[in-house]
Amino acid sequence: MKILPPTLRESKRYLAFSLAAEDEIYRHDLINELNFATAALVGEVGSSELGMRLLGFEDCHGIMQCAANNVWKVRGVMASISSIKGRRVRIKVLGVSGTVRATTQNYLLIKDVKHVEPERERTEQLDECGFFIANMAISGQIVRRVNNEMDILPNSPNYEDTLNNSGTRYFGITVFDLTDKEID
Amino acid sequence: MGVLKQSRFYDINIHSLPDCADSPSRLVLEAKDMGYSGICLTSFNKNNTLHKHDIPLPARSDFEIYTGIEIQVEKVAKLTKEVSRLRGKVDIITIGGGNEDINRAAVENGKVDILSHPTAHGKPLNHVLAKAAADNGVAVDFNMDALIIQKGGSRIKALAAMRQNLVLARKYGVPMVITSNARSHYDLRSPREMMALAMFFGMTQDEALHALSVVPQGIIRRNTDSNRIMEGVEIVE
Repeated sequence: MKILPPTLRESKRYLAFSLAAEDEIYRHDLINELNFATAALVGEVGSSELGMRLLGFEDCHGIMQCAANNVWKVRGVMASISSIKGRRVRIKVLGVSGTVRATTQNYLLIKDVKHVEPERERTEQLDECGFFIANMAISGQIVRRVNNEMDILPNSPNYEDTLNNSGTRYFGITVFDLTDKEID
Repeated sequence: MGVLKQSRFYDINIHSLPDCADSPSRLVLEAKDMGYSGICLTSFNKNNTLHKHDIPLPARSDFEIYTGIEIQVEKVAKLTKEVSRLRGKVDIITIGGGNEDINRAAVENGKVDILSHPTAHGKPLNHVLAKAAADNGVAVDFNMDALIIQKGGSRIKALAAMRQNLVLARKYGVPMVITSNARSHYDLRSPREMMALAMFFGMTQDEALHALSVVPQGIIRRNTDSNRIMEGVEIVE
């Protein structure tokens, strides 16, 4: 069988994206949620026009294929995802290119911008920390730490209301907030 | 796309600790990473207490941070009182709308900067409110958290109401702003994503760009300019 000549093929774009999540997100969960979100926002007819296909997803970064004339809609659909399997997530489109190679080279292989932030020498690794914000002293366990950003699970149950209000499970702080600066 | 790259974007309704779960410096870092030039951290609580944020220097280098408040009230009389109490203290005054009386009082008060989530109860504005908002320079907020967090029926209602608001805002020339109304960094979206979401209820790309950069800049400038006394009165040396 002959393959479709390039001029007759649908024009495509490739979106590089990164995903920030409370917990590890698996590829198939992401695909499910993407399908669901697309159907919920633009319907099945709309979904068919977008031509969305997840080409790769690894280590919180991925490439999404879509139809060239619907890039803005795809962005919107991806932005409308707020949680996957009950865990809060946030998808950010890093850039759009016409080929997979260009997307990978321009947006996925470059150094993470966050490393530009000044990072201090880490002397020891601790699981617990305390921080002090607007007359509130909170202490808790460090769940995750990426560069200067950390997620904290508070020890005291008093803060459940605040967390529920935000719909998250952890407090998000940075190393600059810590009371005990020695820990890092 | 040149215009998009040159623009300076602002998200002027973000809630932080102690009202919500993320610390100001975390939100600043995340917003900076997403490509914003500045944000406004708005205090958001039942008592309308203003929190002053003390953000450490490394986090706020080359980034504009403004203080604001989202006033939540039940009664119109209280709204006027709270607005006059807080006017000199914050950069941006936002009114948490939704209720029809509150929406009306907010757009008729020239001291108010933004009417936030006017469609919270699923009802759009009307021609009277839109006209008042245009006359008093109160910006109408299109809050994207309604499209991100809500699902199903309530999102349909929000989209329909925003579409109606957009028609009115175009007709009467009401300033429009797009904000995330974020309660945590998971609610933040980068400027282009916000534009993409806004395009779902009929905004054009130019309008969305305007609502994310030019209008917030105007609001910030008029409130931080010390030469400005009130609408139309300015010290010019």
